[in-house]
Amino acid sequence: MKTFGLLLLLFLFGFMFQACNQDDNGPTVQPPSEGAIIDANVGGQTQPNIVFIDLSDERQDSLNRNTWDLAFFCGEGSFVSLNVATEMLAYKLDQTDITAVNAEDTAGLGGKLSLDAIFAAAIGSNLPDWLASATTWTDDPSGDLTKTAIKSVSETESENIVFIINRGKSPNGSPRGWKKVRILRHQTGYTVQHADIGSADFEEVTVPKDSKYNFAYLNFDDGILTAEPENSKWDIAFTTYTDLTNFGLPYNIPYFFKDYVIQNRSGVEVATVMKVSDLVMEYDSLKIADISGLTFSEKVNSIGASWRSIIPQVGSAAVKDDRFFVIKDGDGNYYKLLFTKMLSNTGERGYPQIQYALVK
Amino acid sequence: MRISFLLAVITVLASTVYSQSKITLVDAGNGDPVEGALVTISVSNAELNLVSGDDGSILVSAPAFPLRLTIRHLNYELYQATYQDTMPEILMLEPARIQLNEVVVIGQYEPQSASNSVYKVRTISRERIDAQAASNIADLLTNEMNVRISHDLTLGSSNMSLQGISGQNVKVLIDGVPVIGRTGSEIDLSQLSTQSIEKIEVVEGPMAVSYGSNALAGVINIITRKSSLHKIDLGLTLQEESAGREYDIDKGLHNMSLTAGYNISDKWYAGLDLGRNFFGGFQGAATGRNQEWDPKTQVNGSAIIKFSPGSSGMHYRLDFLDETIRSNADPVGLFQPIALDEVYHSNRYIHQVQGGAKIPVLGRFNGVVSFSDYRRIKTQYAHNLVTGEKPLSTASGGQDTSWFKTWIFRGSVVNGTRADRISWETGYDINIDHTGGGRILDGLSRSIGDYAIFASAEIIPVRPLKIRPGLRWAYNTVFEAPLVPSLNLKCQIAETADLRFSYGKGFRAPTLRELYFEFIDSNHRIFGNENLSPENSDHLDFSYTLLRQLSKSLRGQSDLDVFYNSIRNQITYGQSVTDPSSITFINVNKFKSWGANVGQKFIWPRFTGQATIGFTGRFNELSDSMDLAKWEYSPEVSSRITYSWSSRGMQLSLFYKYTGKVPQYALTINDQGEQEAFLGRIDDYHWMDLTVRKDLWNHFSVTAGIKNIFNVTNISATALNGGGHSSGDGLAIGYGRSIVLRLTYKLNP
Repeated sequence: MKTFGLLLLLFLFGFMFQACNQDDNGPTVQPPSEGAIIDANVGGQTQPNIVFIDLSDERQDSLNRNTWDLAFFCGEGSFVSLNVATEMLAYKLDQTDITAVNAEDTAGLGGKLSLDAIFAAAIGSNLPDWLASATTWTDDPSGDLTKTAIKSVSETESENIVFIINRGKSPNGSPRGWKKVRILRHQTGYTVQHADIGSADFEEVTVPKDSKYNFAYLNFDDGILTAEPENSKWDIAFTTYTDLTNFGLPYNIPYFFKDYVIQNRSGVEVATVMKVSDLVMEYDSLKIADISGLTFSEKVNSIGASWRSIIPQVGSAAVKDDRFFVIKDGDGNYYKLLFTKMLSNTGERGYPQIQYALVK
Repeated sequence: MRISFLLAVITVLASTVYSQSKITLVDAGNGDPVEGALVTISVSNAELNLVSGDDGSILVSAPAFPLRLTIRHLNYELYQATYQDTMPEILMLEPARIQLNEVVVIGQYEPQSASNSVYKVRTISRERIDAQAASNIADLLTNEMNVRISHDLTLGSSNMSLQGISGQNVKVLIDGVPVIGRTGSEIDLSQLSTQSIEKIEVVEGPMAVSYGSNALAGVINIITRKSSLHKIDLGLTLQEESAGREYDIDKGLHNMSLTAGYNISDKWYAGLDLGRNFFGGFQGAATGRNQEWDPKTQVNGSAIIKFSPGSSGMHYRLDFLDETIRSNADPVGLFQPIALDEVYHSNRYIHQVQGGAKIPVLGRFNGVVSFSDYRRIKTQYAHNLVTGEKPLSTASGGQDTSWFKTWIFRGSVVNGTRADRISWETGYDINIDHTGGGRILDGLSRSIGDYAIFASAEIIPVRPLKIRPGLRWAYNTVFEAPLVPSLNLKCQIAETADLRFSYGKGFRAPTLRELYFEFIDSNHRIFGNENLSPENSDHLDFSYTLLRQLSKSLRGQSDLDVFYNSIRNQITYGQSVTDPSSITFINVNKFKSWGANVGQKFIWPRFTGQATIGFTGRFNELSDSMDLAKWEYSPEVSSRITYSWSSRGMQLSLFYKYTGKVPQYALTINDQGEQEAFLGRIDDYHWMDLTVRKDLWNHFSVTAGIKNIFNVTNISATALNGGGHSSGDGLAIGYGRSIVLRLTYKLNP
């Protein structure tokens, strides 16, 4: 009996030692977070920050949306994405020589290549012919990179055309100016030619791919920058966004959204769960066994603006209390997530809060 | 009114002097003298017209017999008799059961019967307001032909359209003075309470010569009570109403009003009314703290003091309104008990001094000076539902005050009487508007002045024909005001049949908002446009009215009306040419409507029945570029039935209106990606109110009824395009079948 007790003790010790040993050897693996409440630092009313959130790490990283212009895909394929958080739009010319493009090529664009102009045209009773094509001036909001404004960058140099870019607006509302841009492939990465519209010269920047990130970021003025966290280190992000919206017209138009939520395209999937009767109870009671009944989406805007409502006439805004979300992160963890706040306690926008828990 | 009636034309054709004899006209019902009756004395070769004085008497210079006596008075049955040698000293006049032919004042040189007016004027009497138990003008007009009432549940206002034309083109007047305080761009008809109203006149078609801007689709003139037949008048009304099935101490409608009049002396009169209308809102399908219709409390009233020595007269009147709309919201977050509750507080004061006097040579002068002040304050609170704290919200657009102030100086001289071949009116009309508020450019106040002169004449070239041309010229400090002509013709083709034709130009001035608006947020840049022109319209109207005595006890009235409107330069939102990244107001749209109504009314002593059927057609703008029907038609039917047992002091009233489907084309994209038109529509609905009134004892009466018998709430509307945001997918019409109970006390019933 004594021996048995000793053996058992030894066995237990050994088991514990082994467990410790596993922890200490190789890379440190923290168990995923059980859940948390995060106040995303979006920055208040003007929402200057894009806030990337890593649920399993209970971490947020923010990026000022005013600091970059183009994002270059680091995965398979050669794709370019606009900074849709600053209302950026791109218009395709039929010219491949960037030096040959001048102010004449942009005649009339001032009256249409901006979200304000598009909305102004849409509100009028005589819809201009160009309005239907405005959807092609922004990236597809679902994140499908084959449907971006600039499309894919071709191996054949002569197929890469010059675009006129309206850089949109900074968070304080001031215009960020215009550029002409041509993008070519360079080895596995990209070469960007850009200049002010009237300029006879251009600058050339080489943008290499780094597979740790979804995108490499470029600012026309300051060059390449590290912007978003590594693609394994975020799940969802609060951002401003350009979505395609229906205003009772026969087609959608690009329209600026605040309080928008996107998800990481590298392995993150999102399901929406609509409430049956009591949202919080149904959220609390969701188990890992319930996951199989949900439909997950890889669209980057699966959440989008669906978590909150706005009544435009009175300017009032609120979190929708009819749904919660289940997020599958890149490591295969499932989190159930509630949006709990969107406004400050005095009603100002730009103070979102989430609450989430690991689904077991 | 009676006093002015007294001033009415006296035509003397017989000039021979005889000795005098006196006849006194008295009410066969109560024995009171009948003032203001028109007495026509016909002898073999001449005719003499006299009007009875305030003691009911007329003096007849010893007449030549045999003579025929005809006595006309609106409130009494026609009296006709032939006397061979003597006349009675006292004549009893039977009170008219139904006033078929109302006196109208709008657009008239002097009050006269509607049948003599060159305008086709609809009147809504006090009796009708009471029978309908209508608390405000929006309720009252719900059953009117060619009128559509809509409710903006976000702003809490009720608006109208007339002949298919939106309410910003309808001018609303109180005793001839324009009401200010347009919420959005229209007068909120639910802010106009009925308690001090004597009657309402509705004119369809422009009256721009007399009333200038916005009198394009038509004019609604609210005539208030300004006199009393008794030393003291006192009235009290309590009205309880459910909002659909919702009724409680803080739900449904609880209205009360008091009216008082006092004849201080034979020259001075003072009047006062006060009312409080409480509406607890309507929850409907809304959940949580939201309500489909927000609760509203109105306190309103008026005071008048009138001085009328002899033929001239003058009064001061003050109207005030204080309205509070509470819009409660659900918490903004999930575990954040903050609700952005809003309170809309509106205030309106209208001061007016009106007077009339005879000026030698020139004629009769009538003048108005009025000052109106309207303010609407939006307050948004960040209401903590746990602690009860209510600090102001700091959300953008959370707080806003907009205000309007208007001075009006208006006067006219009328020369000649309706017995003359030519009579004419010349006048001036000065309107000075100020406005300001959070969304007016620079946050400053802006003003606009309109200085107009107008003239018109009524010409009788041959007896049954009356022609009235008119012209208005104005100088406006901001835009170029159009020259406005009008022409009205009236022909009495038989003693009881009238043909009317009218042509008028109308215009709607750009509002201060359309001129100076400024609104910028992350999605919108909206600016006013100082270079706007007024909207211009042409209006044609043809009508035929036939009154018939079908039998001894049955009278009938038949009406036919055809109208056509064309509006150009309609102001709407559009992309700015000078700054394409902004939205502004531009003159671009065209609008046309035409329609016709046929109506028939039967009047028996106890029973009155009336039905009108008609349609309004709206021009389909898409037909300019696509192969589509040019006009989209919507039908309307309106009916009113009244049955009275006067011996039992009971009256039954039924009001019915069918508002037809409005078809509307809109653009969509088909499967092939091509633009195509699809036919959407605003749905139709039936509205019916039924009330029973019973007089109790001497001073009380009770009205009970059911409103909105067909239980209409929201109707579906597809193809409501026009860009921008639309608020939900239906149009709010009512809050369902409701019960109403009204108790009235009158000192002098």
